[in-house]
Amino acid sequence: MKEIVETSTVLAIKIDLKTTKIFFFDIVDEKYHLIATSEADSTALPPYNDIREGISKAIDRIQQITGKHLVDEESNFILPGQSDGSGVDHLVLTFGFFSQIKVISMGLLESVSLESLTKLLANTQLDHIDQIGMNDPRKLEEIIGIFTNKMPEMVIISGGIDDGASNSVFKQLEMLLFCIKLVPKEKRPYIIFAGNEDLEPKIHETIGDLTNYSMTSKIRFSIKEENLLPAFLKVNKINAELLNQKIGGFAQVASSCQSVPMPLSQSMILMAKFLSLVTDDRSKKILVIDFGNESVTFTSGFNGESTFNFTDFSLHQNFEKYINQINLQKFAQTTYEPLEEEEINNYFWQKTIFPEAIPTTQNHLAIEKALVTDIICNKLADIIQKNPGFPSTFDQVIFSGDIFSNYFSFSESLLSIIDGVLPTGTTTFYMDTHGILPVLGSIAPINRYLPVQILESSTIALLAKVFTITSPVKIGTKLAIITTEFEDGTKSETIIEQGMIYRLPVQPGQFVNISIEPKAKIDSDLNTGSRAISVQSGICGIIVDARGRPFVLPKEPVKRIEVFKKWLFQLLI
Amino acid sequence: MLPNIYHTIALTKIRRTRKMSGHGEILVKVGQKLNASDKIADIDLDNKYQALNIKKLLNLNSNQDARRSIELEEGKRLKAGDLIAESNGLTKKVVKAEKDSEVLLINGNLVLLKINQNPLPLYAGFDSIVSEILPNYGVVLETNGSLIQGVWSNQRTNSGLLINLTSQPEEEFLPKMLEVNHRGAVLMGGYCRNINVLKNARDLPVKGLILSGMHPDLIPAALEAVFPIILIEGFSPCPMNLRAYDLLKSNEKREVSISGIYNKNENEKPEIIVPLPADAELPVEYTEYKNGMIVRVNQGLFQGKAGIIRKIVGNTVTLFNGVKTICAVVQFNEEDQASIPLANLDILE
Repeated sequence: MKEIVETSTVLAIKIDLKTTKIFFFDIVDEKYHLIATSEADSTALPPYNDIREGISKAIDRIQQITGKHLVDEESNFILPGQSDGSGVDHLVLTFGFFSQIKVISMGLLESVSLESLTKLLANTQLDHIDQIGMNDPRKLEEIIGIFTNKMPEMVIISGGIDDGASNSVFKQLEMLLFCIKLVPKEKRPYIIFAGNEDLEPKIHETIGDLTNYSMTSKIRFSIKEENLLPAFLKVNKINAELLNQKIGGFAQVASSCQSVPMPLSQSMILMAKFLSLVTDDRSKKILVIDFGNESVTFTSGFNGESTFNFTDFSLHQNFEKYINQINLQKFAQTTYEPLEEEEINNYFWQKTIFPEAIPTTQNHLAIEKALVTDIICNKLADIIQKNPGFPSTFDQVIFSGDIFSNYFSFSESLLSIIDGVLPTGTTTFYMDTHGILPVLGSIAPINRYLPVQILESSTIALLAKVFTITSPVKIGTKLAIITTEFEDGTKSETIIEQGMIYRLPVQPGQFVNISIEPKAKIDSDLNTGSRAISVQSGICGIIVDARGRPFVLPKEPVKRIEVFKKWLFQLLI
Repeated sequence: MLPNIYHTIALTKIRRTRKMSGHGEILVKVGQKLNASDKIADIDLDNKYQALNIKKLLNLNSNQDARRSIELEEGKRLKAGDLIAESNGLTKKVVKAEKDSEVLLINGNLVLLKINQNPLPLYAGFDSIVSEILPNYGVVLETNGSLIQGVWSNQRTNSGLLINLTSQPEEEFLPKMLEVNHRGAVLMGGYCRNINVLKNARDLPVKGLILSGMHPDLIPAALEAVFPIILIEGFSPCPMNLRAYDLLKSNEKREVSISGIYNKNENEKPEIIVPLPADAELPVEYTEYKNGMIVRVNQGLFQGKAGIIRKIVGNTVTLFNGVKTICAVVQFNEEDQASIPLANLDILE
């Protein structure tokens, strides 16, 4: 390990349609550290149409910060690191570009291969525009129209199960080829055949030089068994290859990388899986929320399994797609400032025109905070409902996004997230200030030490441990007394009332023992009899949330705002 | 950060590429003079097909019989009623084209037709001259004149005589302001919150509306309007910035074009173009904010105000609401200046 660690510096690029971020890692005291980060606007779209311009600007900043030369005079990366200290040993790329590649899935049976394909593609960031099954009720001419009008860049065909009907699979393949013959050759989709590899010679003969294709392992071994991983990796690899043609400069940057560029979805899944395995208790469920500039992503991790979901909008892109899902009247009741529906509506629509504009007033900031909560609350409920595999409660929540780093204080960020996730039991909240998690995922295949060592550092900050207490009693009723015992033996008592949130008087990083003395009928993880629980405090301390689920709020706007302000005041550091 | 640019210029060269979204036929030639509403290309709509199983339709016994019965070749254009296939024998059966179409493919007993559809017209959008033809892609158009770029439009285009209905930028656009003598004109008004303005404009009819802003509730009606509606500031009740207001006012009674078809992902903007008989240079496409630039504020307390950047503050500033960002000091007039986040500034030059 020492040899690798001593010689490897790593430069990671995270890029999407909106932002370019660069992370530079080096060894200090035999451990990897994040030395510098920088950010520039992405130049993927017009007028530049080339991501290298934005990368170049971000690299310039990294060079200024570190004093290291990372690119040569012709703007090529210096790889590997040189004896004079210039260059880096490894360059990795993780990318967004959500829904830029359109994919159609084809399979035989709805409840078998088509179900697996839907599941597979839901974990990618491709735009799954259509699905064609063996018993598709549409006419041939309609299916032809899908290919010639929508022009998918990728088609994935599930090749059935072992000993399954290969004739039916080939019939589907022939229909696909018949359709794509009508598409100009340079626009024909890439075909991924996920099936029995023994069929490769026949597939090769059938497809001929009509279009590019590749094989991957079957996704269904039998009616009940599936293995999506090989196909998932293949789809992501082809996604990166197709972006070479679609995003200016992508191919050139990708060719300098030691590994295949990794989509954010894959790197998020990788990290969520990893984090779910390194906890002491594998029954713990992890949720990673990223408020990216292109999309809001939700990734779960549980016992080595992970599920990824993304929205087709963000606070900075296609926001109009979300506006119509907002109930303005309800929304106005969640803002921490007294706001009229009209002001909120105007702000939303102005945001569709100027998505990068910064909230400069308290009212506008209050709208942004309420938006974060609203998006998490609605989308999480939606994801949980549509994905049976997605956990509905979480023990750890990690969140990231420029909105938290640049707009909100730690307390405001925490409260927005708690109000969105509405945790039950005990939940630990972390903030990924730099949005580094997917970057670590993309580095993991070439350097397994770096992600672990960075996770052990404070790059991902422990914000707070939140204990939720619920009770059927009225607002204001005394629920419990919590005793906090410090390392020096001193104790402090906090009276908990129904309808309130509390920050226990503990300094960040401090370990304390806390115990609870119930005064009413309560439901809480703290309620363990006389035994005290040892807890580490985060930046925002240790939080006891007794506001109930759902919140019971005064109908009068003035009183409601007072309650909100009290909650926020309690959490202020 | 990359700046937002909304050109608001009294005289400039305007060069625009009108792209065909998909296949189509270009209808103009280099050097041709165009009016805003002239059609420059026909774009094919989404293709529709018809697959005919001749064996089944003619009730034949074999594919060979079916193939023999097909009396045309790939590529042939058909009129509705034209013969496609015919069986022999006593009970003669025929297959005819139901619609005007083209024979795309004959595969065994299958005939695939591509149905002809009315193409989608691509309009010039402003009075101009064709400077270049880009085969299978589009047309480059040019003119010289005033250019005022807006922030939103209902994706329509037209031109007409500009009439200003406001005495000051703050004035709201009310239905009673529309009169019979405004028929066929492009009207310039302030903020519009009353749907009857759009209804009255439709009934007159007008050739277009230039508004400082519009209430978001009017968006569905605006999208249904057959005339272009362009917003200079957006969806909040703030007056038009003075630079745009003065420039538009100075062009009153001139023929103006509203080119409202745009794609914000392609960095295109809806715009008002006033062709002028003078030579000019292309506008500068700035890549960063600089001292001395004329800008307008697009968000917050000073929204809609235009001013000059006096200083760009290099470090991150914490605003009074706690937001951390990079700001510029903008001077609005001799006495009035403020620190505004760079992200909330649009270059107007």
